[in-house]
Formats: sequence, structure tokens, C-alpha cells
Amino acid sequence: MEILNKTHAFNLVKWAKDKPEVLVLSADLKSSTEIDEFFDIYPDRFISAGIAEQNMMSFAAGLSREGFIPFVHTFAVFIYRRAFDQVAMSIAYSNLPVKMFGFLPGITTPGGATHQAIEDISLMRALPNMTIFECGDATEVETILDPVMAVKGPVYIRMLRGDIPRLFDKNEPFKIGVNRILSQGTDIVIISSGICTEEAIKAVDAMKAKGLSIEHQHISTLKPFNSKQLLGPISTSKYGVITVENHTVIGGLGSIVSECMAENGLPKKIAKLGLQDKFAHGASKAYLMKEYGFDAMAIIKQTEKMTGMNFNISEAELKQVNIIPMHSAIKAEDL
Amino acid sequence: MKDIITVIGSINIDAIVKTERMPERGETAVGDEMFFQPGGKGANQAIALARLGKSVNLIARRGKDFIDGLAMKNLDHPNINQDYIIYDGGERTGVALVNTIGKKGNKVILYSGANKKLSSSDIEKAKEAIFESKAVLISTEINMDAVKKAAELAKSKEIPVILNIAAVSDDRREAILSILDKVEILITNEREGGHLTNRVISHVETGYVAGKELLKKGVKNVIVTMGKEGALLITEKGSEIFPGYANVSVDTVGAGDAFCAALTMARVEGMNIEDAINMGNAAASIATTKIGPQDPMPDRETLDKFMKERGGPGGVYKDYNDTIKMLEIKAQKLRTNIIKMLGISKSGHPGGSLSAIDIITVLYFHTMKIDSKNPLWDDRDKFVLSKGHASPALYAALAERGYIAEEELWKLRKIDCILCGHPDMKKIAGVDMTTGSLGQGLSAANGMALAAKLQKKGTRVYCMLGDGELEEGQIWEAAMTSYHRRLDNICAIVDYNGLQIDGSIGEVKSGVEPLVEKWKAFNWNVIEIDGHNYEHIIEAFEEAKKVKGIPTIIIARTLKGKGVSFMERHVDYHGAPLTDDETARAIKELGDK
Repeated sequence: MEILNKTHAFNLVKWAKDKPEVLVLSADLKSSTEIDEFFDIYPDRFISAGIAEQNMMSFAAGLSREGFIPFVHTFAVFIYRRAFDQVAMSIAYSNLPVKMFGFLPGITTPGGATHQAIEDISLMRALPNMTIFECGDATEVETILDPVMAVKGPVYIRMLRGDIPRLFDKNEPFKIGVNRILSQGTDIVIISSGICTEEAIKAVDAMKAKGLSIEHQHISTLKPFNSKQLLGPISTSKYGVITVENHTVIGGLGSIVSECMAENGLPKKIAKLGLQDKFAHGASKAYLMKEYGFDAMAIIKQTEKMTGMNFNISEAELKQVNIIPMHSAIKAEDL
Repeated sequence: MKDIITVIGSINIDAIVKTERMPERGETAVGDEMFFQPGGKGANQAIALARLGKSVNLIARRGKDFIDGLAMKNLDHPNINQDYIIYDGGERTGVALVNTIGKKGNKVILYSGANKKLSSSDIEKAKEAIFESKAVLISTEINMDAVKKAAELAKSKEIPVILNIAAVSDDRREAILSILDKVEILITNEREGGHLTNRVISHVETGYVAGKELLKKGVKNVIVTMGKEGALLITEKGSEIFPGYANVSVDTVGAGDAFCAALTMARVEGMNIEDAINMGNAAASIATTKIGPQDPMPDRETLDKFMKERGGPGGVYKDYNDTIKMLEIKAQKLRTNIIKMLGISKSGHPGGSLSAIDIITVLYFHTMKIDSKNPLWDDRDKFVLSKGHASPALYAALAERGYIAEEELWKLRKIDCILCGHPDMKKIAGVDMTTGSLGQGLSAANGMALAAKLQKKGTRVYCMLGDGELEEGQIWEAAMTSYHRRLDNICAIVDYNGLQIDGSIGEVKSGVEPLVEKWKAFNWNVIEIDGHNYEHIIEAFEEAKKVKGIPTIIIARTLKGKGVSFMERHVDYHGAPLTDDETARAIKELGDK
């Protein structure tokens, strides 16, 4: 599996070259949010807002009101927890094109509850005018900026930094409202987002080898949510649906899918893997995903429970899964 | 026989330097002129009373003058009995180092010298002087034992004590508070009254809160002098503002003493407290017309003539012209429209709209570079009403300026209206930023101002804040940002009306004061004005345009509900719906003006 480093840092610099209207805002987290390269190359378009996120949000609103496109960079928690009213009133209500890059989604930091954004999707998706994207791999990090710009109003992005695997073919860019169909099947539907997709790919690969027919879709547009690609596979699934998210199961991907199923009258069982209404410890990503039950093994256990089967898959087998960049089973133009 | 008044207080020599501004820590302020003048509160007040025709016993101590004979120069007056002035050859006469910045006030450093030696036995020896008096006027620049003794002696014979607060320090505060049950009238300026109550007083509303605390200590009347804006009287019945007499002011040193003396004279002559304050204000106004404390003190004839000629407090603007006349007429119409629209909607905020309207009138009809026919004009100035609940004031201005049809005003807060409770820039042409959740407007204004700089436009961004709104932390984040980006095209205005929903800012969150010092500490250029005086408002905006490199904030002292008598200074009208009767009364009152 290919691992890329500082993907956003280098990509942003290249991408922003001919976009003078794009300003980057930082709340004292320049290198932590991979905008140090941008600062070095475009110092006049870099705005240091200091450790004052509430001000930064309304300030960004003022800049965007005058025709600039502010790319606000900070840890996700400081966007939606610290400055929710400012995001809601200065940005969302005014429907201004402020683009908020929230780093450290879910348990992607050992920093503990203070820095882990575990309920951001629940809150941000309740805001009218808000669009929500989540990156699942390096390809998505590399290709998310055009879609972010294409949205007229505000966008909140669950962003990844540091070492990021490439899961998807680099020629298949992030597309708004289009799920990546990573596996097609009829026994069970697995829906994953963000960093959970890597785990889901491992689990699906292992279970498919044992003969299970699995529909696996990766979601990167959480709002507005496009359920079209999901409804068919869910309605024909034999055992139901498992959602896997790096987030609390209250209000996130699992809730979104549940709502879609109920609204469309699909009477299937759904299991929501993710944080089960609790704050997480600080620890490594791998440890926490295992501890809180949303890693590959947890997906297998949940599938066994719903299908009544026993796949007898060991941790060692899961480790051996070699992920090569995947093509989506259905191209966007087929839809 | 003339009325006798005993004055007890200090004798000083004032070393006065006039500078452009007060020096800050580590800074030297340069002055062009220096004056050595006789001073001291006791001496000033004695001379003022003597000139006003009263017989005065002055009880005080002096020592060796560093300029021989200077301290006593003006005390050689036929009406002043010098028998109780004690000469102490082992001490120096007190010295006040005065830095005056003309009409904007002064700062004093006092070396007490002989004054601190005035003892309770000195007072005891002078008790006949007190007992023969119709009133005793005491100022507290002297030894507190003497003050206490004098108050006790006067009280024992039911002679009214008028206490002028000065030089309050931590060790003197308790002593002053302990004698207030013997005091008929307490007179303090904002700063000293603030020290006395461990509060900051820089607005009539916080003056009122401090005054109420002092009343609890037993004093009958508290008067807080508020510079040229006048005096605030606080009694059991409530508080009342007595506006000052406008004048061409040169130096404020001694104005407080003139006030105390004229008020004391008036009381001795049997005037009620209201008339006495008015007389004090007139004397104080005259006292600011010359440098130094004693020379400009008026005699009785001058004072009476001044009051007769003026016909009452206030006065014409220095430059009363067609612009100011036009603004007055506009503001009056906008006030009426605010009341009308709130009367129809039966919902909204009258108090803070009326306090803000004079400033908004100046912005929309004088200061801002705007074109209602081209509301999206690229280079226009912009206005962010951060205290979005004052939207009726903004809407009234936008309608009068031609941005929106007047009929829209009468649909405020109705279904299908464009004028919502709080301004929505997506719905209303001319609203530059959506506001309503307090604390966010200055941040947005910063963004707009920075954008203008990046785009090399001459746009200025005006942002009106509420004083209560300053309790929001985000304001101070924004204040740092404005300076950090050196946004000199930002001009913020605080509509400092002193009241918020739960009461006075002195009661709800007194830590928001002092405003001036706070904004200075955030590196802003600060201008203090009377927010209902068009001349002040216009001048402040013009000054702000000239300041380069730092943002400007105008601290505009205003009155909540200004212009409608039964709403003025009543917190109940912050956001209360108006009844038909209230609406009719208010419109009638505004129409009658």
C-alpha cells in the first residue's frame, strides 16, 4: 500500500497558484494543519488569526463577503465546538463561501477528548446551507479542493494530515455526492467513511475470500447526502447494513443511513459501528479503533453476528491484506 | 450679617503644565507652558465662596511655600477669615503637580506637605468657627482625622455638611465611608467616586449604581460630577442628570471647586438641591475658561449674569451650522419612525435603537461614502451593526436614505417582511453584514476592512458595538486582530448607554468598565464623546479618518431611550413591546419637539 506524506501541504500550494482569491487562515496551527508550505510561498495570502477561533470564523465571513475565499485551517474541534455560533450565524446563515478544514477528525489524535472531533458531523449537518465532506485517503485529499471551490456556500471538511494511505486510484478524483462502490454483493451492505474505509476494505477482502457477497460503499459527501446508490443494494441485502464511522454513532453516518432507510421504507437491520456514545481515550489510532470497536475485526465480528456465520479470520490474516488503489465498481457517468 | 460658611481643606501650590495629551508609562509628554498658581481644594473653595459674597472661615494648614507668599495670594480677601489657617514652619505647603490637557481633563500628583498635619485638635480648637456656620464644606485632601472631627462637630449642631471627595486611596476609603451618615451632600467626580466605591464610574448609569451604594452609608444626596456633560444627582427617589453649560473650555482645574462652592452658597440661601446643582454647573463652566484654579472663579454678579444670559443649561454648538440643523431634523424623523415601526410590530428593541440613532444619522447622512442608487457600489464605505437588535435604527436610516421603501418599515418582523428582527444582508439592500448574535460584528468588519486593504480600495468600515456586547470574549479577539492587521480603515463605535437587559452594566458585569483604558490597552486610538452631540460625533469620525496605523474606536456616551422622556434611562424599554398608548405618547412628544 502506498503511503503519502504531507499530501495537503504540497497539493494546496500547487492548486492555489492561480487562485489569488483564496486566502488561508490559521489559528496558530500552521504546521499542524499542513499550511506551512503555503505560508512560505504565499505569505501575503496567509492570515495569522491567533488562538482566537470565534473571531477567525466571523473574520473569514467578512473576507468572503468581499469576494475572497477563506480556507480556514485548524483542528476540527475548534471549528464546531469552540465557534459553533460564529459558524452558524456569521457563515451558514449568511451562506458565505468560507471553507473550513477541520483536522484530527474522530480518534486520529492521541491528544484525547479535548482534541478529538467526535460529534462534528452531528452538529454541522444540522446547519442549513452547510456542505460536509470527509476525506478517506490520499487521492481524496489531493482532489478535494476543486469540489470545495465548486460549492457556492460554506463547506466543512474532515481533513487528514501526515501519513495517509492511497486507497483509491489517483485518476478517480473526489466527486461531490458520488459514493465509491468498492465491492458489489447481496448478503450484506457495508458503508464506511473516512479512515474507516481502510479497515472496511480489509474486512471485506477477508470475508469475500470466505464466500460472503458484500456491497461496500465509501461515502465522502456526508451532506447533502445522496442515497440513490445505496437504496438498491440495501433493499436487496439478505442480512442488512453495517455502517462504520470515526465518529459518535449519534448523528453521524450511521444516523444518516438509518434516516434514509426509514424514509424510503427499507425494513432492514442496521448496525452502527463507531464511538458508542462515549468520549475516547488518548491513544494510537489503531488501538482506539480496536478499543471502541470500529476496526476491521470489529466489522467482521458484527457481520458474523448478523449473518450467523463464523469466518474464523485471524488478526494475522487481516494484516496480510494488501490494499492496492481501487477502482470504483461503478463510474460516476453510469449513474 | 452675611451667611458664614466654614471651609475645611487643603492649601496647595499648583505647578501646572499644559500638554497635548497625558503621558503614558515610560513616556515624556512635552508642554509649552508652565504655570505656578495658588491652589488646594480648601483655598479654591474658600476663594470661590468669598467672591460669591459669603463670609468664609477657612480651616487649613500651610507651611513654607517654595515660592514665597504664593499660596496665600488670593486668600487675602475681605470675606475670608484667616484666623484658623495654621502656619507650620517645619513643613512645606502642599504641592500639586498638575498635567492639564485643556478641555479633556487633568491629572494630579499631590504632595500633601502641611495639609496632612491638620489634626482633630486643630479642628477642636476651631469649633466656634464651625458652630457659627450655616454650612460646612469639607474636602478630603487633608488628614482624615480632621475631616472626621469636623463632620462630627457639625452634625452635633445639625449644621449641614457638604463633603467633597478627593484623593481617595485604599487607606482613606474606609475613613471616608465611616462618616457618610453625617453628610448632607456628597460631591465627587467620576474617578474619585469610583475609587470610593471600588467601582469604575464613566457613565451616568454606573454613577447611579455607585451613588446608591453610598446612600446606604447614610448620606442624603450624592452628586457625581461628569465633566462638561454635567452632574448626576442620586437620592432615595432615584437619579437625575443636570446637563452642564457648554463653554469654550481652556482648563478644567478648579471647576469642581467652583461647583462645590456655588452649590454650597445656593443651599445656604435656601435653594432646593436641583437649583443648587444648576448653579454649581454654571460656576464650573465659567471656571474652565482660564488656566488655573482660582483666577477664573466668578463673583456673584458674573455668575448671575451668565445664568441669565444662558437661560438654562446646554448651549449652542461651537459651530452650529446647516449640517447640524439638518442632522437634528433627520434624527427626529428617524426617532419617530423607530417608534412607529415598533408600535406596529409590537416586538423589537426601542431603548438601544434610540440611543444609537444620532450616531447612525451622522453616519448615513454625513460621514459615510455611500450611494443608495447604487447600493453595491464597489468603493463604498460599509456599516456593520454588531448590536443587531438596534435594527430599527438602521432600517429607519436605510429607508430615509432611499435603500428601501418606507412601507417596508411598517412590516417589521411580519411574515413576508424583508426587515427581520435582526439585520439580514441577504434580504436587505444596504445591510452590509448579517448580525444579531452579539460579539461577531467587529470580527466580520475586520474581514471586510482587510479585504478592502488587499483590494487596495479606500473603503472605511464602521462597526457599532453595544456596551453590554463588550462582555462577549470574541470582541477582544477581534480587537487584537484589528491592531495586528493595522486596520486603520476600521472605525468602531460603542453605543455606551450603560444599560443592558438585566440592569446597569455596573450591576450586570461591572468588569466591562473602564472602556477607554481597555481599548487603549488593545492599542486602539480611543475618542470619547457625547453620543448625542452632533458636533462631537462629526468631529470624532473626521479625527478617526486621519489616524493612520491603528484602528479607532469612539466611546460614545449615550442614554438608553434618548428622545422619549418616559423611555430615557429605563431598562424596561430595552426590548419591551410598545403599547398603543406608549406609541402615541412617544410620537406626540417627538412631534412636539
